[in-house]
Amino acid sequence: MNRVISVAHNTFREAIRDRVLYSLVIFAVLMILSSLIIATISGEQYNKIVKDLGLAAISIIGIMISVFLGMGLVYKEIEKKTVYNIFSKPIKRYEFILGKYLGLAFTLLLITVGMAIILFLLVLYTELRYQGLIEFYYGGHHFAEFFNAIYFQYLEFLIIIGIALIFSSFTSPILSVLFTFLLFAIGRFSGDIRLFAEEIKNPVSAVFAEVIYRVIPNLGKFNVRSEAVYGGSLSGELIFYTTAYAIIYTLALLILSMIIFEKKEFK
Amino acid sequence: MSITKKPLIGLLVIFVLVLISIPFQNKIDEAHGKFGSMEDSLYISSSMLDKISIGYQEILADVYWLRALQYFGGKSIADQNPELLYHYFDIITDLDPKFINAYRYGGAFLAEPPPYGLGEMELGTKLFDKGRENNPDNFRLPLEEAFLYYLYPKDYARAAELFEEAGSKPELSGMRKATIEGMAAAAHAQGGNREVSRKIWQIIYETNSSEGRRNFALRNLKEIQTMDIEDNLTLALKEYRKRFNKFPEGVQGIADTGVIKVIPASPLEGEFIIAARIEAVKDSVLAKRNLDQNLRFLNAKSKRYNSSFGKFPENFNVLKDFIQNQTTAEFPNHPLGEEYVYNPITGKVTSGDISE
Repeated sequence: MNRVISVAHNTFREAIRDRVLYSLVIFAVLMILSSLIIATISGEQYNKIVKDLGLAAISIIGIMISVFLGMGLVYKEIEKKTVYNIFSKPIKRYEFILGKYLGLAFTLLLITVGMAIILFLLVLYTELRYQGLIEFYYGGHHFAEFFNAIYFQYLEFLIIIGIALIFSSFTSPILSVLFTFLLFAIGRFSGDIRLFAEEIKNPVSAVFAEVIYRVIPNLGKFNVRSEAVYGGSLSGELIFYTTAYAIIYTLALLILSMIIFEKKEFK
Repeated sequence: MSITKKPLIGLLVIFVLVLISIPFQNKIDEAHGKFGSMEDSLYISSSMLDKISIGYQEILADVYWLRALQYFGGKSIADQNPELLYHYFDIITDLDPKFINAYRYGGAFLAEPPPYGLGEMELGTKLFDKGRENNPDNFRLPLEEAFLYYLYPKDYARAAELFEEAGSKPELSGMRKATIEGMAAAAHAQGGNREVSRKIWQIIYETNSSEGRRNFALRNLKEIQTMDIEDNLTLALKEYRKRFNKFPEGVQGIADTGVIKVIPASPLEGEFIIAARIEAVKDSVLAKRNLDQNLRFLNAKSKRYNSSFGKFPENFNVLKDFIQNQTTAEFPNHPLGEEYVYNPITGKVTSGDISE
């Protein structure tokens, strides 16, 4: 376990030194802050604009960080040949993969929490300033739903890091980014694939569509941003099932990464 | 090249070129027509936008909302295109079906007549209907749609239905529920459905703990009861006229001849009087209430005429034409069929009968 933590720690240190990370985080913060200006021309929809734009900023930037930092997680080590150094020490390949994953997951956790705090302060400011209006239009503040939306968003990041890690273990960074984004986009449309599976007449195609739906990540299930604005029934059941789904899917991705990495030959 | 060697001169040249390009840009915008840029974005269907958004539909809805506000806020009513406006709000609400304010603002702006809106009742209510379907628990959408039906096409039956729908929503507080149910009752009464109105006021009276609400419901119940008596006495009056070919001295005269057994007491504690011009029996208290309400309305319209044209109407017919042709309201007839008294110097409308 110590070896995993040590890889994770190094990955974290490496990640926070990355310029890409800083530029993305600065961009996210600017996006979140700009929502305040945009909200002033929104026809009194202050909190909706701030929440929509802020949550989307956290989501977009988090996904970009997952993809762009995830793409180099393993590839960089192989490219720079530092992987030989690592494996000259008593560390297993699966521990290396797990450590890499946890390192980036922790980095994203810190960034998500940081962005969430900034956004929450902004939301708090807006909602206190226009309290009467917000209660009139939206029936309440829906803070619990707001934090739930961020939590679900983080679960989505965990899956995307897992996907990026798989591609990073056997392909180049450009292809890794491309494949991860493609899988992300398909994952967001998983509902349509399900609909297609239900409506299709040909039984073979229907089974195929159903299999695709079950195999690709159902990322649409992590989107509860709308509830952060309008409220909704925040059920413990939904949180439990979504968390379980994210954990199970991430475990599957990690195992697949480990298998691929185990088979990889270093020349 | 000296420009590339001297960056300041280069920057200055770039600045001048940008300035020169501005009038060309304006000409291009003009050539595209007034809805050019808007229509471009509307060629994309909402289902396509839904796919393009890859899960960020709410952001696209916000962008469309901001664009709609900026664009339509910057145009005069005459320059607006209702179809385009409807399409815009249709897209916004497809992308974000819970965006209540998009239905409310879009629907009201489309339905309300100029100068407040575009006067497209059908499109406006279509947007409200979509909102009600997508947000079945929201009370504001049926409530505001009811107001539109009540105020503009004066479809009181539909307004009452919508008020009732709004009053049945679970999120309402007891007080608000009673108020909306009262509106439904009023709309039914206005539309001639006195029985439904009576039942609703009865429920409000029996179920409300607020003394003020109960008194208000009781007052309305008494008014409805009085209207029923007025109708019966008017029928008796017509029968009297048929038999004797003249008006009786007073209401008691109808009873004296046996056309009707007894003249009931007025629930409003007024007295029943004969309005010969409209051949009807009216309650003095109810007639006075209605007359006071009509006078307030007529004086407000006279003031509005003054603020629009810088003078009061020359005579009462001018004021009547103004109300009938340039406002959405109906002209209120004198409850006793008498003539209003109008002073063109002060612009004040009065009645020489029971109100003064």
